[in-house]
Amino acid sequence: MSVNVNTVYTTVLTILNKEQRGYLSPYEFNNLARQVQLEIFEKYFEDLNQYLRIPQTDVEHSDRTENLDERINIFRTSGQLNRIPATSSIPKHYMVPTTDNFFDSVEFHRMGTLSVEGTEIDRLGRSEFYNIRRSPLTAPSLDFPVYLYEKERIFIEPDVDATVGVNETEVDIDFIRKPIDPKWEYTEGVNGIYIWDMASSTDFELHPSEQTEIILKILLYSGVVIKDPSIMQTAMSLIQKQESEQKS
Amino acid sequence: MSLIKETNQQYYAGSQIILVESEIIGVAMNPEHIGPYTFDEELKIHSVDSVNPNDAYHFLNNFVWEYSVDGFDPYIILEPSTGEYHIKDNKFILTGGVWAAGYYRVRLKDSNLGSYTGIKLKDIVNNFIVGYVGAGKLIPSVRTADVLFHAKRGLQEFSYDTLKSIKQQELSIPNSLSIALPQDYVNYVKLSTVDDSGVKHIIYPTRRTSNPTESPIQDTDGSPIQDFVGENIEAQPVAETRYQSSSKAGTNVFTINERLGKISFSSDLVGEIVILEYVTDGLANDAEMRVPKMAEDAMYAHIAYSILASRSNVPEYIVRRFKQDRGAKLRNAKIRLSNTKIEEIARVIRARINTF
Repeated sequence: MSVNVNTVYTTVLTILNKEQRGYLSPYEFNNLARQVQLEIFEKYFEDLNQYLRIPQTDVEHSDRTENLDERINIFRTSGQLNRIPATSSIPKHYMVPTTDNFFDSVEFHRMGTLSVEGTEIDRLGRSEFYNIRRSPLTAPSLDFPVYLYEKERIFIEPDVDATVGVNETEVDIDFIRKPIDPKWEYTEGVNGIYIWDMASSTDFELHPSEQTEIILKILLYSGVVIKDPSIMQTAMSLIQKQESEQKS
Repeated sequence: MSLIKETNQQYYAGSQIILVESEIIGVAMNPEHIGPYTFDEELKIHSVDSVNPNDAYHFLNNFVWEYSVDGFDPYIILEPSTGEYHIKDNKFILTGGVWAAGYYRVRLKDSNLGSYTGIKLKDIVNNFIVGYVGAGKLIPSVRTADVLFHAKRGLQEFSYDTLKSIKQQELSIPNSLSIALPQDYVNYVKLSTVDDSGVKHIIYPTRRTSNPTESPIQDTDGSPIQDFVGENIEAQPVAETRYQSSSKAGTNVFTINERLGKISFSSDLVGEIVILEYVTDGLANDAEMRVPKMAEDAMYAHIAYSILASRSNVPEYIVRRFKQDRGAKLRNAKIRLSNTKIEEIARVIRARINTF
């Protein structure tokens, strides 16, 4: 499931070139495409927070939280933390994985749930981490472990995999990976014409339902590139209309 | 989906046998396994070395692994070397050694007989989070530590007056006439002596003497004397020892000295067997951290009320609603746990009538 990068590029060019307004080179398009993909992707998490506070309908296909979850789902994956033994200055800790459980290389973006043997590990801030350890009633245990996430390192209390190699234990992590940058690659044809190279191109990883928004947002930024305020205004008003429909 | 997963053998005998039809050679890469053993409890080895029964820490494994060629007794305890297996998902992953065909039996060290009467505290916490916490519910989010805190406090409070958490120790009174309070002692329920027929006779605390908490040494003016760090110098209180050796001392009495953590008895009880019944808070050890199923709902209500009551911006009417709910469910739990049976009441009444 993805949005074809060539469809987006040709649509943007078609709209831009109407009345000979201007042209967007593949290099400019690729930069704008990366920016737009990240912008839409980042907005998912804010939208999710907003939707969760509003009662949703249970009718199929119209629950906004579920629909949004479908879009985020593309980037949700899981893996196992990399164990880093203690040194004289840093206690034993863990690093987020660079390969997920599906053997794909991934760039970590947002922390999900940490678990060990099916037991969820609670995330705490530094002061809670201290306080909880001090109370005999809430002190972390193998049944209720906790972790601290600082400087891209994960410190888990208590030592959940002290018996590695005895009772095989790994710390699992569910996380959101960063989307892969879209790229419209080409070969040069006769008269310097750009011919789409499908094999080397990378599609937008966003859900197909985002195609319109991607095109509108690229158009908005293209208006800045080609210095045409009418393009910007039209794109902006269409984006606002779409957003108000989605959130009303 | 039913709650009982274990077979009758796993429950009553605490063991499970798995047949291995042909010899397995343990290898490090892509090793074969024996199992899984389907106990409710997770099988755990203490350390790499403790797989061997001759290791000093073998007793900390929660099971014993045995073998029989034909499935009949006697089973012999397996003696693998270090690193010949490890456990994952209750499967024995065979990374070394040669494992003959035959019957492999796992025997749990702790019996779980009667375990169905209660629910583990960690299950209470997990159930509560599943049932009461989430988007669209009154508690949208909560930290597990908060739920755990209120669950443990609830278990402590319930232990004092709702749950049947009375424990008993049978003790012999030594020549010193004092015995130590149990490690998990919170308060006593009663003390009784046991006669030759095994019948209990209640003994009572005396009010004619007491156990002073301090006995400072005084100078001639009556002021306490201090040592070189400025603290009062203490002497051994004599009130208790004088009372025990006095002819005015009562018989069949005791005093509790909470400062020293001891119970002292009158001298006529030396050598007697006493039964100490006491309450604990239910949190002393993991095995005790169970809530009777009769009080499960009361515990959920207690946690929900405690969380909502300690939160800001929760309307007072909601807090009140949960308080009432908690009270009603706790009352129900007390009635259920009081175990009143009509036949037993009838029997007591009949016995009374016959004595007139």
